[in-house]
Amino acid sequence: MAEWSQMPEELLRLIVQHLNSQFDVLRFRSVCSSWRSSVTAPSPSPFWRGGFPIILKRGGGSFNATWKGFLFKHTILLIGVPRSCDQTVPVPTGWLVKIREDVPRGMSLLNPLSLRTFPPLAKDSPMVLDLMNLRVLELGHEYVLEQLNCPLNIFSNHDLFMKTVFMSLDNGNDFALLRIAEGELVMFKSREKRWFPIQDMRWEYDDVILFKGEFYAVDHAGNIWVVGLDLGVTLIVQLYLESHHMFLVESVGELLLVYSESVYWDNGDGDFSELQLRIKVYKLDMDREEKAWNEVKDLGDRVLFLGDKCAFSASAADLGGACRGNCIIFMDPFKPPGASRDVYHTDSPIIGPIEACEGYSELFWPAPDWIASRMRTTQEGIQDKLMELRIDSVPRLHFFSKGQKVDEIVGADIERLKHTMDRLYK
Amino acid sequence: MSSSSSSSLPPCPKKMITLKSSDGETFQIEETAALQSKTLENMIDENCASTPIPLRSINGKILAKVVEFCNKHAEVGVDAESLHAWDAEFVNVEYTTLFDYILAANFLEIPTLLDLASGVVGDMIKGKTPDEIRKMFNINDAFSPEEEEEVRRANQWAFE
Repeated sequence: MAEWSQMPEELLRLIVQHLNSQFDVLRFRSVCSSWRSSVTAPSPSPFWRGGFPIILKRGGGSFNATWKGFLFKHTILLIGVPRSCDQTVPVPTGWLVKIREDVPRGMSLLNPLSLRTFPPLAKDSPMVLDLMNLRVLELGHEYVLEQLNCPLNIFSNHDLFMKTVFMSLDNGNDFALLRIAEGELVMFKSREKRWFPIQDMRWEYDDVILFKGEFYAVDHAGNIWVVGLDLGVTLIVQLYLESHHMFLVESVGELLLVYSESVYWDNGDGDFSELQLRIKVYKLDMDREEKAWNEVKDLGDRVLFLGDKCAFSASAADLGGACRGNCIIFMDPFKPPGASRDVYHTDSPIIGPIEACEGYSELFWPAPDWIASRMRTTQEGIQDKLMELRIDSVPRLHFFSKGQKVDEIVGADIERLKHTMDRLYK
Repeated sequence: MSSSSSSSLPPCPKKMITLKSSDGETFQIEETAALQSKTLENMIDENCASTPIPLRSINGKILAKVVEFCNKHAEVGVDAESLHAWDAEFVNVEYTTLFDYILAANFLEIPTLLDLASGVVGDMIKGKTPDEIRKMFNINDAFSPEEEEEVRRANQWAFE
């Protein structure tokens, strides 16, 4: 019989090396005593808390003044409920959030596709979410530069097509940033503490990504380049497309290019043209000596998310609910940023607002009911209140279904009790 | 009776090594394939490989799979994509078998197998709750009350 809890420490550490999110390491340490002691706790990354100070400089070298700014790291998470052994039990749609750990009392929530903050989860008190009974899948990171006291808003991250990607160097002691701004690329190296322009440029650049440890950039004609730390660029493959805009996104170890073009559609009455968006997906074939972009007709179980500042992907099975894969969710380029999310199914080339697409709109806001039932005010908050009211015991109700604990409620919240009872036992 | 061995020898004889599992089964493996294991390489270098090599910690079922893995990875002309697919199928097994693969790969020092098997375990853990992981791997060990409290606190997530 395999005794996973008795596995030698060095082998447990090997497994942990394959976990690249601090959430997964936290979970690994929450399994049993021996697993817990085999790896040290992930550090709460003081590096990122409150942002990393950095010199800001406009790309292209035409603007020489510098300001002090901050580099922030955001993490995109898919939160879900644990799966039941019974395959017939429907899985509720997950909750997609972006978190930023920069506030003294905890973290703030952002729309995963833009830089807009979600409203606080509770009106008055700081809230605590118990992750013990929730799945947390890390889908990606985004890096955002923000300036302090900059007279001109030249680093406005709300500008379209400004994006920063991050590469950790020398075991995390150093890093490099590749930033795209107004079609030009600039690189920051933490060791040199300065920005370097990437001079070699055939077309304007459209997007940047960190893929398999290297910086990649795609230009307006669909050419993909590797951008070296020596500031040189190497052409990997040419595509020749007239683009509206290109996105690079990683999906299960593959580099995908999402190409969108806007076409004017003559609706028949001669003087009116309707703007339409046409989308194609290409996969970079790296295995052959001659690298190539191959068109992808079917994304299978994958869903691509194209945000303002980062693109990521997920499997429909992990998203849960009615999500069925093979689609692309993006911000409508014809509406102001942050206004709307649209969904595109590659099997039926229809673009429509996400609200019209069952299963996908629940991924965003508001938070699903099962999140609300796992939120509590902080323990300190409760204790202060109890002291104040001279209460020394509070009921905690555990809900069971099919021999398994499925929920709990602390306190006598009648509405929530009713709701939970209805949901579980009706 | 004359010996027929001289006429039936293959044109280029491959050097074979014999491995013996904990339950007494023996397996033949080409030396070139066996060299993927640092442990076997050392034995071959020290000329200890002329008799069957006893592997007391690996049973016949697992050793057969390990030999299959080494043979596949010693094949020439296999393209990366099909080897990748073969590997994925190889580790598509019960958790107990994965556990044995890891221990065997560690004992025999086969880095490719160790990385493959521990990677697939890592992938299975990703995103899941501690409870789901415990059920998956049949772990029933309890935490001490102090650890329990630490774990509870570490999994609390404070929002603004």
